[in-house]
Amino acid sequence: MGSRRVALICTVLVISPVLMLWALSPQEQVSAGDDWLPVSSANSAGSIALTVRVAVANRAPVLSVSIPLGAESVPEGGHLEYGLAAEDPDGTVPSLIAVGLLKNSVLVDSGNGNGVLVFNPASIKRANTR
Amino acid sequence: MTVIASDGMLADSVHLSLSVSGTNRRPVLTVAAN
Repeated sequence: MGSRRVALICTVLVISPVLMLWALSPQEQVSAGDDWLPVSSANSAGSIALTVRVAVANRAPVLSVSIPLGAESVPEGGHLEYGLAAEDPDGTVPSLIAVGLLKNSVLVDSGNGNGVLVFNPASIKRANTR
Repeated sequence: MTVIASDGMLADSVHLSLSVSGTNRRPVLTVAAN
């Protein structure tokens, strides 16, 4: 991983000549990923070096389903396809799964955040399935 | 059914309500997303 300069507020509490407490807080937004930052400071005894790990908070992906106008219903023997699109603000590729997948339907995950739900209700026998 | 997009730690989901109606010969599947 590369390093990145991030402004830090540093509060030092000297408890004894050999014990200090440091409170550090990053002051600017950093992008996804973790960086290791070299930080140096000085006290009366000389200089010391700290390594501070700044972890970026994870954000949830956003999923949308595209239902073409007029494609909300399909008769037995028909065919429906709904597009799925998921984006992660952190830049990762979300995976797509379906829970409670209806018989004769399949979810295809394209592996790039997009996918498709396919319905082929050829032999559905139960009514009002959720 | 519920479609879930996950980054491994956090997820978003869309619930699809499915119903089948019509005669025994020609049932119709209806899907609504919410």
